Amino acid sequence: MAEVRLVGLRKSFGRTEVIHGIDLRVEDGEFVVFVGPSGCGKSTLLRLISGLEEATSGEIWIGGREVSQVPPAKRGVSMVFQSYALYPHMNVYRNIAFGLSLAGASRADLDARVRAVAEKLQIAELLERRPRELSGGQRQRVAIARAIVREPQVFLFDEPLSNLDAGLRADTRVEIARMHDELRATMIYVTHDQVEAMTLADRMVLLNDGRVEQVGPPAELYRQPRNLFVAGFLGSPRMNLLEVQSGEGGLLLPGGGSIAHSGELPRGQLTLGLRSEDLHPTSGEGVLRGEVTLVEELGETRLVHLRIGDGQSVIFRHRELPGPRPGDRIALDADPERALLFDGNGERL
Amino acid sequence: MMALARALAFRLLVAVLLVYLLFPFYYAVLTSMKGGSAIFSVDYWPRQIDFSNYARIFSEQPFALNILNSVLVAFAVVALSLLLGLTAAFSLGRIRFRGRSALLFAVLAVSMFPQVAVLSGMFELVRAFGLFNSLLSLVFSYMIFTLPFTIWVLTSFMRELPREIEEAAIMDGAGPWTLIVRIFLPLLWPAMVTTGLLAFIVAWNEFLFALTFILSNEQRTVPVAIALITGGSEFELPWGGIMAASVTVTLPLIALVLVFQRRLVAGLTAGAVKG
Ligand SMILES: Nc1ncnc2c1ncn2[C@@H]1O[C@H](COP(=O)(O)OP(=O)(O)O)[C@@H](O)[C@H]1O
Ligand SMILES: [Mg+2]
Repeated sequence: MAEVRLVGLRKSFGRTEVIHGIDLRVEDGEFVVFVGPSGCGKSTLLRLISGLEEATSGEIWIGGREVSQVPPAKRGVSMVFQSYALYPHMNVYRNIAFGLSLAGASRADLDARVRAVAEKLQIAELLERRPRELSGGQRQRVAIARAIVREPQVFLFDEPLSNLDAGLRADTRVEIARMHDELRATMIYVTHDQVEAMTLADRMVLLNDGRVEQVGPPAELYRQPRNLFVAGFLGSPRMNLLEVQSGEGGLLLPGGGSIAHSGELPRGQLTLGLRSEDLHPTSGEGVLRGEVTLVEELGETRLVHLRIGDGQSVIFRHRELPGPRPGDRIALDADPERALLFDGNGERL
Repeated sequence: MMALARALAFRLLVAVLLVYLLFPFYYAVLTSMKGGSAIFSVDYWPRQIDFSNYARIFSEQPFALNILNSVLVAFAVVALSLLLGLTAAFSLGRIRFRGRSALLFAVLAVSMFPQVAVLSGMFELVRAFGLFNSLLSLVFSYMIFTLPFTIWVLTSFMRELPREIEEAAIMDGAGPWTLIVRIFLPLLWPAMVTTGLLAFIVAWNEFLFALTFILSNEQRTVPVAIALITGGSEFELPWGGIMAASVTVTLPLIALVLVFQRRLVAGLTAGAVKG
């Protein structure tokens, strides 16, 4: 097992730089998830750690060893690919055994290890099959078995669940979490799916355009986003962002409502962030008032879209029955402790 | 009624095609079994089964040796073309480097020249390497026909293979040679069979270079040997013998195609290698 440390890591393809100097420390045994919009450099970063891409500059430390010049197979990392990348011409047994046999493992040792891993992943009956004779979920298990059998110090996953259907995805997610508990290995996992990221991660690394926006436990990124990008990226529906004016004793909201605010605030225009679950209907005055334009029924709760004037609207989560209807006029209260404020540069105050 | 008519029309079309394709070969077989002046009568059905032509081509010249020469040359050409083709396809299909497409087109351009155009240049090369009148000269020169299509076909197949499979193998510790032999070779096998067979046919049938670069009867390959079969007198063209020889050397090709038939179809339907 090992920690992974990235120091000033940069990567350019031709003249375009796609990773702009990343510093990061992944603790031994930690489950870290890289998340971010498509094209932000998640895969590239993972491939730099694996050695499939060579860094333009910077250092990569795995288990106290600088590995920039070490070939992929000797870095003590295993990778699970998005497409599984099983060898189509080999049966499951040989797929799992390939790396061990190249490393020169003895026959008996190899056989024992392959069978033990197959047992653990419940694919022991499939060992003679070819990949094309397996279902998507089974291929996924074989790909994971192939990664485990080499007993790496660090596991790398590149969107391993994106080719599975929804039900299987949830199951496999739980299984990967359990595998991490069992193996206690360092795992770095790439996904663009924030549910996957939030549920699996000890810590999340939110990337944007080749830079780290914020690193921390999922709840921290969700509750205390450092800036507007993080606030907007996490959470579904997206956080409500309102243009507000700060003045004497509080914030002036669109539609005339106001929120008291203690502490120093810069004067002028700010952005107020409120999550859908932090807004509640009230029979009183409320801080926001408007007309319901759309109700999205989710079963347990429903998302209500409210037009609050000035062309702005908010979405809040409604729990009680009966739900509102389009055209209804509603007033909302907000949790002042939960409200987030961002300055003109998008940084949180 | 319509369905029946259409089925009949289809059968008829197939029959016409088959006759068109097979008749010349059938007629050659027929002629090869005729002796003496029977050659000059036109028959569509065998009147006599006479294998004396076959016996004679082996006794009157070193035809067995010629066949052996052809086999040696063809196998060497196939083996070398596939080896060079596969390794070239690996670099052209998988490794990014400056001038890659220019190189690929240069390879293709080589195959655009008519054979006669390269004959004299090739002759100089063969002489310079001291290969004149040696089978190696043929192995050497046939590759200018076989390498272009081998490289092109294998390169395009190579590009079809998902990159992640190769990367998985690299993560498993495979170096370039292991990659080629343990991953690409098995995955490209259908394409290799197809291109290998085409290369074999090219090498087996080639005439002009074989005529030019080889002097002695003992070094000749089959196509030239057949053309040089002589009759009893200088006024007699030994059609029977020529046909017998042609049929004899076509049979191995037919056998090869039949043996590899299924692989061949798999190789011709490109992209069939995805897992
Ligand atoms: N081999 C490559 N050559 C050129 N550009 C690349 C290459 N791989 C990735 N990129 C570019 O780098 C950026 C990051 O890509 P990637 O790491 O795949 O993003 P993500 O996995 O987050 O979707 C993208 O703009 C992509 O176009
Ligand atoms: Mg990606």
